[in-house]
Amino acid sequence: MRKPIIRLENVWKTYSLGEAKVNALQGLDLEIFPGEFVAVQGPSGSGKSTAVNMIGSLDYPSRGKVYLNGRDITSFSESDLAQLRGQTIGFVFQSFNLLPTLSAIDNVALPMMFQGVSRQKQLSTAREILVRVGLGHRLDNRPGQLSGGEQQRVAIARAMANNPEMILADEPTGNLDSSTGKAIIELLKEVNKEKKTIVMVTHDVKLSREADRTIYLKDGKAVKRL
Amino acid sequence: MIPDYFRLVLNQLRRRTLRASLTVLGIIIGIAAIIALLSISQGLKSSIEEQFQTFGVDRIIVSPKASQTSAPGTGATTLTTDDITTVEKVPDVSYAAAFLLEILRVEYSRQKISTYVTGLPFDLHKQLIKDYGLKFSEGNYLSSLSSREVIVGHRIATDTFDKSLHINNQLLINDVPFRVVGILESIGNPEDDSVIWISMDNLQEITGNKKSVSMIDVKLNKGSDPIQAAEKIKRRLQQAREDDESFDVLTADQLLSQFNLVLGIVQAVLIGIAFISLVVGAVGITTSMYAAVTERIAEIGIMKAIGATNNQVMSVFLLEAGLLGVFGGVVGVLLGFLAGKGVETIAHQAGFTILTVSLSPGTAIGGVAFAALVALSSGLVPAYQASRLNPVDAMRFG
Repeated sequence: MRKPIIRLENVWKTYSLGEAKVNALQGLDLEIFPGEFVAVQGPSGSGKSTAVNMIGSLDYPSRGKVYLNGRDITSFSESDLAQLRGQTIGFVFQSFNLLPTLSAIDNVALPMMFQGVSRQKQLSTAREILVRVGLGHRLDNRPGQLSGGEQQRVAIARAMANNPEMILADEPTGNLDSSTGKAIIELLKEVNKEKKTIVMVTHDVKLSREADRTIYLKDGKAVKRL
Repeated sequence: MIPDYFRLVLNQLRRRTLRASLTVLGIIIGIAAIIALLSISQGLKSSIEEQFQTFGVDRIIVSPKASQTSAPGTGATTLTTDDITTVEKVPDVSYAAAFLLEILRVEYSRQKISTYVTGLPFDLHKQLIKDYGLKFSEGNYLSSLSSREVIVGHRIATDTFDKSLHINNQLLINDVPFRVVGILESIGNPEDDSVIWISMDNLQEITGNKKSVSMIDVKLNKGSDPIQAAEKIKRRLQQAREDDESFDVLTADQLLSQFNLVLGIVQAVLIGIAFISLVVGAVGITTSMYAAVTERIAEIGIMKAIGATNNQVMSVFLLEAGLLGVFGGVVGVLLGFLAGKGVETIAHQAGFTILTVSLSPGTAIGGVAFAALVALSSGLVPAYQASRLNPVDAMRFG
């Protein structure tokens, strides 16, 4: 039996909005295995965003367990978790979330900087990945000088910078037109062929069909079908 | 690692020139104000001390008690020629020179002014000029007790009358003609450069005032203790004047400390003003650091999501704040010093050439360090708060 990269076990997340308490997740169970391309699909209000936090170990659960590579994340301090997250998971977001003041190559180099990689290695790796995603000619352009599709390619390159086991993409095509979005999905599939696990969170039924399997979310829980 | 942070922060600052310059402006103004005021008061202090050094520490001034007299020459002087004799007899005294100051009409090439004319003892005047460290730019000493001769200061010769004054020119003092025999080199303050010196005998003759003395300048023997000597002089004078105490006996040190007391108050006021401007500056820095952090909460979220620890996020923002502080501090110190030099130029034009605005390395470094500290501490709270945000929430911000 393969060991999951991420395992959520009866995860609850409760937010307090003044007096009221909102349960965004109500006992979510899921497992992501190495090499998979998984879609997490659900309508808005289904707890998708909170699920992204949990799958990406960006936050601690209120109740239940989150295991990152078999280890309970509550046993890590926030800083240790940040380090581990940086090595294990790369993130791709709907609104690209690149640093506007940095060039493409510096954006890709940034996660390596936070892992203490030497500047020389940062630059050579960043260049290599950017060439692979088809942006070899855009290395020194800042996000404002790139199209949406190009920015998302930089973001994918950045997600791959520390050679993580898994890439978590949260609505990666949400801000792109359909043909550009398709190209991004193709790129993610290519990355997946290189044995990288891809988790794509989306509300789009069509997109989720591109994945090997789909996890459906409803009312903060995984369900068989929507 | 650290060079990476520098590169990152410098990159950020370069791309946000306007925001960064506005933040820095607050620091610059605060630091420049405090440095300008400090360098001026430091210059003031050192020029006063310098003047006292040439004057010498082995001197004692006897003068009428300040509270009981009005300006010299108004007839309210309480010292007399008898007091000189008393002072001269004190063992430690090398000489006691009496000065008489009177406001008289002075006329040169048909231009009349009213100003102080000083009578000084003929037999001591060479000694006094030497002891005061004065030099002649033209001419020499008075030649005799009663010849109508005058020595004038630099400003009287160059600035006071429309026509400049040279030796052998004639000056009318209360309509009595005097020949200029000596012109002194500039000392650096307008008061001392505006002296008109004639022999005591001549002044007494002109004014008919044969008894009063405005002040007595006492030079002590080598090795005698000024404080003890001052005590002795005071006691002798009290005896001779039958317990009348309407006079002051001050050593050079006491005079200096009186000056310093006044200067201290001036300095305290100046620094108070500078401090207020610094507080205003600090509030400005805090506001703009807070805004700079707040508007980049999303960026902080991104950094954390891609693996930055809280401390790494903090380091980035504190380094940025620190760099802004150091940069603002350096520019502020330079501008402040330039402003001080501007004041110096104005003072020189007004005749105070002795004022040299100076800035000690310690003050300069202190200024920069203070700027960095204010910037760091005002960046600390927002950076700390931002670094603790949940990355996903932070990214959605803005």
